[in-house]
Amino acid sequence: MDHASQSEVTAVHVDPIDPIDPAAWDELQQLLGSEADSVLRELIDLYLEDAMRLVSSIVLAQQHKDRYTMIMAVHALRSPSASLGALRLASLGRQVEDGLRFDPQHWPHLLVDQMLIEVERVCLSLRYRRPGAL
Amino acid sequence: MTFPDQTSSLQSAFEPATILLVDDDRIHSRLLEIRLKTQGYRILSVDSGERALEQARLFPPTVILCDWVMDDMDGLDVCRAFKADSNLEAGHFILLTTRSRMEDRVTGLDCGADDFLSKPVDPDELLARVRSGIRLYQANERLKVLAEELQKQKQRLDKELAEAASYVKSLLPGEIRGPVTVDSRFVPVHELGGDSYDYFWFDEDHFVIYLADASGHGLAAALPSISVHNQLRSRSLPVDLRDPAQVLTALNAAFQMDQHQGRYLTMWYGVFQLASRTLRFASAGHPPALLCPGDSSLPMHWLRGQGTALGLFDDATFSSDEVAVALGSFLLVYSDGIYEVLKPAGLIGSLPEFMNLVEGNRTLLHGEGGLDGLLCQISASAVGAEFMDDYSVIKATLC
Repeated sequence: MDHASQSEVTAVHVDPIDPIDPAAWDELQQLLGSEADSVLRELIDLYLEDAMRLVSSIVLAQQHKDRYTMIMAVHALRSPSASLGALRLASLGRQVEDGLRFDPQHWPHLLVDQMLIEVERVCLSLRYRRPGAL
Repeated sequence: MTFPDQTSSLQSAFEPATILLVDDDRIHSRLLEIRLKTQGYRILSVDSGERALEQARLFPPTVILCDWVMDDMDGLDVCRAFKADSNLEAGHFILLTTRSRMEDRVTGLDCGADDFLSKPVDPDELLARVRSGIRLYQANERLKVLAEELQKQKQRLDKELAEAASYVKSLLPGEIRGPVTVDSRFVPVHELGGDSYDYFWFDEDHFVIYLADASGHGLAAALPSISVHNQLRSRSLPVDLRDPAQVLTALNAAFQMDQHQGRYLTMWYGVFQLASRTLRFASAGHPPALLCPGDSSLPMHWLRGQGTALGLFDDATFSSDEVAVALGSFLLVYSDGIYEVLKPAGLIGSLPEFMNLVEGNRTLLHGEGGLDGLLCQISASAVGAEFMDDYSVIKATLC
């Protein structure tokens, strides 16, 4: 971990609330109608596949303080997260992206860490929600 | 990537609108595709700007929904590329953006974007914006078709006017020599003007010369002039063509402006009698002709008539005047377009200026190339002057 302040490190915590917004998820299911199961399987598989790749990019960008790579990876993660109802993750992504764009003197360690934890939670939740999952 | 069912690149009115989705977010793109497909649109989906251009060249889209932030070509680059391509520019380009700042929207508009949609996209707003884009696209396409049709009609009309102008020119007499030598110029500013003139031997002793100028331009102006020409040339006018006043009176009766779309004609008509060496003339609101003796010690005469333009008043009267013609004199008849030129600073040339110019070039006019010399002088007298109207000029040397 890079040099984040002590207060930032201690502030990182895991939220017990479901990372997928129930209302957004219901809306998505309604939109997909009779094909919801097959399309949701397809979308969740796409998400998990992309999320693994993007998390790798985010971790590397964090290590090398690579601002451009971080912005692009976070942006690419943010939009599909919002589409699948991961609104808290999308919001964290937006904060990271805005911080990097508009505050070039500061690197948002804490927010990035929070975001990585939230990605894990979202992936877990989506695996659980994937139609056909045990 | 989703391919369309048909391979034709042409969109007919009966085909569904083609929507091109450009987004490297596969999930968002798939959701948009599902939403739009329910409306019966044909959906093409690609994940980069480069692929979007390739796909659009094969199947020009009606609406493009393009993400702003993408690797390599971003949405602005894609938008610029579409708007720079004449085959693709008609597509309604909607930028998908999470950016809401006014500066970002201005940047997007400056790149040619037609609309914006905020991500994540609201389903109802998506469909409404797409419908609006399709309506605009179709309206633009209809305008294009109309513009093309108008262009074709204009070309057809121009061709017909050119043919009519060629016909009018073919009616005008050429140079003649003998006891009366005549040189003339007819210069239409537009394809078809309202000037016509003629000169011919009525019999062995009488030489008829006239110039008519119908108001306006185009076919409506040319027709009265052609009609006058044909009536005089065919000698079908039931009057003695050796009597200028009778001729103008008859033409005035035949060409009342309320029967000719408000057109009227000015006309100068003269008859030179060789035996008596006299010139009888009458004018219907036309600028005065010039009679200039060969002997420079003799004065020049501006031959003004008293009549009003033909077609204005059905009870108008015309009278003939008569002047003696010295040996070697020349007669100059012209239309007002020769002096009503637009000069720099917006001034318009006047008849008195023209008369001064002609009087100052008396010697030049007497020469063999006098007519061209006069026209050169007119051009030189006002550098940058622009002829606004058709003009005709006849020089008849009465030996």
